[in-house]
Amino acid sequence: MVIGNIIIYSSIFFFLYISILSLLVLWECKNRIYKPKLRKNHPNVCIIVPCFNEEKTIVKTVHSLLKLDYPRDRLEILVIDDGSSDKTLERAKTLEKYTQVKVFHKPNKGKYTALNYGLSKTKAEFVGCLDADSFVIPQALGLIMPYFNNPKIMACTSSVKIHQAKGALQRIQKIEYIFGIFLRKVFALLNSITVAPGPFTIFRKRAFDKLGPFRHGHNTEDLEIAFRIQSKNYEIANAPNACVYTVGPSSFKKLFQQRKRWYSGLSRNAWDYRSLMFNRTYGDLGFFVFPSIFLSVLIFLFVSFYTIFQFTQYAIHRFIAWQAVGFSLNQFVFRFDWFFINTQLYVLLSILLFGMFFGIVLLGKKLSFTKSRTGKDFLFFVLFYSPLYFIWWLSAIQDIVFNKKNKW
Amino acid sequence: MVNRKPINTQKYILTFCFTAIIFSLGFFVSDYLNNKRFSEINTMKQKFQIQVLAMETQLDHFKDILCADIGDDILTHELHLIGEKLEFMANNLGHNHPEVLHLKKYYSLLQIRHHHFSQQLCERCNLGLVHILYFFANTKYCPDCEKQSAVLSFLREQYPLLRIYSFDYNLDLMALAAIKPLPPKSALELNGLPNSEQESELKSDTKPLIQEYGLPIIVVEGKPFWGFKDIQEMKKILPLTRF
Repeated sequence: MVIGNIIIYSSIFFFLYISILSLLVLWECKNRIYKPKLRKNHPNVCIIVPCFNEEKTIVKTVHSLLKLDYPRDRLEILVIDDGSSDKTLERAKTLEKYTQVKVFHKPNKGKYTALNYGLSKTKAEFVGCLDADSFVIPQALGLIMPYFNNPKIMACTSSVKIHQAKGALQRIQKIEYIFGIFLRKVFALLNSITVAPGPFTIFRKRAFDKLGPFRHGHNTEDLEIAFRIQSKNYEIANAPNACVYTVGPSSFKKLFQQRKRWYSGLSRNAWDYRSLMFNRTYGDLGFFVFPSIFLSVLIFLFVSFYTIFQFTQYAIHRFIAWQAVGFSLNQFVFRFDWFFINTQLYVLLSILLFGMFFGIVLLGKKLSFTKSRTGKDFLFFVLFYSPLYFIWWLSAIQDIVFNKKNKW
Repeated sequence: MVNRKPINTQKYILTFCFTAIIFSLGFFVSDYLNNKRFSEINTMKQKFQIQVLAMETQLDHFKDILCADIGDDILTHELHLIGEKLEFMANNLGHNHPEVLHLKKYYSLLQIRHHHFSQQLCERCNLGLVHILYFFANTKYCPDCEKQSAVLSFLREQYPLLRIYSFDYNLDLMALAAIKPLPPKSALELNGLPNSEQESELKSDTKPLIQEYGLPIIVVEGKPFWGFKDIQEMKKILPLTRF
């Protein structure tokens, strides 16, 4: 009981602390969340689209790039087919009629090799990547490029949203991604971004010349490159209004595989770059953000186990009662009396925390100019996200413990 | 390679202060609401006391009172409600919370008083009520008490004429000691205690014996029954012909 209370209250304190800090950081920097759109001096940009068996989306993805509000002669699009076994290459070839688009084919060796292949084929000053299942809004590149006026910035991330969320799993991801938009902006303001997402991150080409090309990074090259940039004390910015839509996995199995890869990749990369942890020379990243990422997961797992334990205890008590008197609906008769509303400290603070989370999601929507309704999505998120997150992390930990390699 | 901005420690300290303030506010709100609940129970308790006193006075001084004008239904309901609210507070704040403990003792006294009044009323007006005293303890001392409570709650709903009074066997209360059934002599003999020591053993501490002999204890119309009794066994014990 005492241990349980300590776990619960310290968890609430921790999450409340993080929420307040995030809001404080955002409020403090409210005047520099966005940058004015680029009007002149458009540098050369190359967008690499690595693809493997993406016949359904590749054409739409490239078309979204072609619609970018950016001078045509300054934009190069490289489609790198990483040995697809479907009609991806065939479909991509049809896009070569556009002068900006070049299509290459190479044997399948993984996403990072496709990205490096693209890097070797361009001389542009800036290089971006876009997953072949993602679509950018026309203004995205123009909104990102002004951030590079600061020479310290080596990469700039965008706001990733779920494309046409249907079904419970995609709806859950929709809220999760909106929450991620808020968090990424806060991390950017603290110069602590730890991921340069595949869906539309633009890099200064010089970054690769100085730091080397993309690496395998435990199948999470976007995490590895971000850690590498941070480890050399360069900056990664974020343009929350530069939106990119990605197709979220719609089946439990695909989503499970993706998350297992992400979380085990995060843990393994974090281990590779552990020198950043608790290291004050890395500023807010080393002092607070990096340790907090893992502490929050650890606390979440503890609280989940504790909740499962409590729920099991409750179920046993109910079972004992049912055993004694049999099942009766009378046991569930609801009688409202304010007296029986639980107002213990942990309940009040949890309600506050929940309200803050709701507010943060709304802020995420505002930051990224998301207009779509999210009421139903939020309901799905509240009901199912915690158990899913718990399962994903447990599986990722299992893979790490048994040194199992994750596949795409 | 560039130098990062130095950490703004002030921001972290400020956030800590904000969080601590919110925590404290939450604590005060929660404490305020709990105190409000306790005062509600106290008000109910006082109201109940006055009602019992009024009815007892009616019963004692107005011999020709009509039985139809007096009943224990409302009182029983209120007593049950106080018990429910007290149980809720005990579950939330812990059974050893000083205020909870104090109210539990008071509640036990109210039950004893109501039991006494209800018995008197029953004799006078021939109401046909069946009185059960139920002695329980926490799961550590009484693993079967949870089941027994469920059985008794079920029976209370089935038979409205049943009056059940629940007492924590380990509650340190003189009045409760007077109605607590002691383990039968056979139990003491089983434990190998000589006759001379039996009485002092019973008076000093009955907990070990109770643990061995087994809670819960159900007293139906003055007759104690030891150990868990399921619905069927309870139906055999209860004078169902009265219902």
